[in-house]
Amino acid sequence: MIVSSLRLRNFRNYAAQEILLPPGLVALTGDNGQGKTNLLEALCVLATTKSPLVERDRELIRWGEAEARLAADIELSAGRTQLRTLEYGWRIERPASTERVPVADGFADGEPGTSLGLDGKSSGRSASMVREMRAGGVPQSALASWLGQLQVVAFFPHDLAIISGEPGERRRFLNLELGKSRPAHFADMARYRRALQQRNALLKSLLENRFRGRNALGPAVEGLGTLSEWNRQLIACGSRILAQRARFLRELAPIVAEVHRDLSGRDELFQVRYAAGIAAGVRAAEPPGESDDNWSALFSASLEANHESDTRRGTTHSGPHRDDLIFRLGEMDLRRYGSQGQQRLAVLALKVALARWVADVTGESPVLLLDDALSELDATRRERLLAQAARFAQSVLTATDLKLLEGATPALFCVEAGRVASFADTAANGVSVAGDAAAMAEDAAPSSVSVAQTPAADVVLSAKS
Amino acid sequence: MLYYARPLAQLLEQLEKLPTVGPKTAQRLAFHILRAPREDTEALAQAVRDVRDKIKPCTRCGNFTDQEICDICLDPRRDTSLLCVVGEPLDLMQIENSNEFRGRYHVLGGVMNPIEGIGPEQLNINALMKRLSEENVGEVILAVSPTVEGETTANYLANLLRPRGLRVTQLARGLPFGGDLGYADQMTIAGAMRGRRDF
Repeated sequence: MIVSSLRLRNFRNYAAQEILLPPGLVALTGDNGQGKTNLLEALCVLATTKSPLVERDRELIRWGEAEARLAADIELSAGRTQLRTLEYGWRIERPASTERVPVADGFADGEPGTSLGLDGKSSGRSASMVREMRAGGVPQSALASWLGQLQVVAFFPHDLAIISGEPGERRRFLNLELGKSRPAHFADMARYRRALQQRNALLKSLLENRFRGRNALGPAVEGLGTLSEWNRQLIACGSRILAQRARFLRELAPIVAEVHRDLSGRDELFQVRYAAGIAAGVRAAEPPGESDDNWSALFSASLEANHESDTRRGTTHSGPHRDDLIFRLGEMDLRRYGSQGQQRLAVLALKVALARWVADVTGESPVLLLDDALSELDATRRERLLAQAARFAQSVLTATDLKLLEGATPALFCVEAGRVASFADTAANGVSVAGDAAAMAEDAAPSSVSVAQTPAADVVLSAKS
Repeated sequence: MLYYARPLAQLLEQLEKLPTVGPKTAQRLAFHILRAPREDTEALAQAVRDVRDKIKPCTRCGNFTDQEICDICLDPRRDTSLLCVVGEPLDLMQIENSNEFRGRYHVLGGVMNPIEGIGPEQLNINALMKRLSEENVGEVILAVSPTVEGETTANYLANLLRPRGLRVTQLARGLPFGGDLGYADQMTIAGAMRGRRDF
């Protein structure tokens, strides 16, 4: 799929902007702080209703405004429905108001299971935010049916944390990426989180009873009886999550290895491995297989193995909330020993592979978004990444310097102070443009933007106010 | 800052304690009450007092009643072999309003919820067991909401009931009746797919 038009209103530093985007490689250039990243973020927000960069939606609204809107025209690949308009808007209501739009989704305000990660962080959404989603003009209420209408796979520099950060970062990655192509995953997650909270509450109350001396034969025994019921709930939701994640990694791993080999140009094996939150002893004794049943047996055995420590510490030590991913380059643990450059290349390979996986699963090429992906790579790897990106129906990337785009022929846009202008016939000349680039960037002053320019290339731009 | 006269402030405070009532609604209700005819406000106050004084749980099923035993339990036309177990009296009313079920009920008074300190001991389960020993029940229908807590409660009950040689059933879940597959959300469809049955 491609985004043929993106419209922003009061989003970040954009007052009102429409950008007509061509298919293929699109490059947004400009100095720091001009709004390049904001455009990629806008596409992410439109795709998922969540910003990958900030928790609070309020921060996405242009300073001093109360309402922001995003809209995009989506074109699917030939043979499928050709055009659909997605609109997403959110506004701050007066604080006194208690009304809110119910969004039947995995992210609803303040509900348990709000968090995309299993790590207990809430989405930070306030009750006074009103949202509206429309697809083809029809109001949408369920996030489950919204997701997937615009599929994006995005790389932002902070994604480095997927490798270098805490396990919670990797679980967040798993949840979000799995949920985008299989929204029922969010429902499983919400139920699992709830069952986990209940089980932990029960473990804690059993623990308190024991401390108070009301132990042994009293309510504690009764409580242990119900513990097995909570275990069943936990296993029912948890094993589906485990099985889904295992399958996801099994499918993703070979693509990641292939993309990484291509990007690095070296014959080193980059491996992504799923480390399920299952007791080590259980995992070693019985390597996980394919089916949900297999995972429920494993999870069940793991809960049993951890029963003593669970009851002693009043919390649950196994399950998908303890999952992790392991990244290895050859024999090296990338998280601990990888250089910044190695980690960066690995995350890029992961994202490009993910985009290919989405294309495989959905039959539709997602839009690949790369924010500042080129700056820390050497020339050869930049070229290879650009070549990988060019394989998708549409890839949008940001770069501060046109020299970074050498070897590729993207459609160029210049971003300056919340305005976007297209470079005239850039792509045709490829690298040679780099020389004139600085001059062109200066020409693209805000005033010139209001006029729709139609250069030789099929790139049109207009800005309304 | 705006101050209300004390009686008004007290009314507002009480109204705001009600579910789904925020400050604005409380204000609207309070001013409505203030302007309403005296008989109406007396009737409201009396109704609130009566509901507290006269309504109590049915000693047999746990449903709300103003008698010792509720009308449903006393109704001789009810099929005594069918017993429908629900979480709250509100759930009972919902099922009753469908006019589909002619058996009797048992109200648990909630579902298991360790976070709120509710275990099986806090629920009306002992009475259920006693009833099953005394009454000639052939089938127990577990009609608790399919939330995480509801399902855990249903599983717990099913384990208790199975050794008694009863038929234990559960309400079906999946596509809403009269719903178009095209409009069902993906989670419902996924659930319905998992819960599919032979034609």
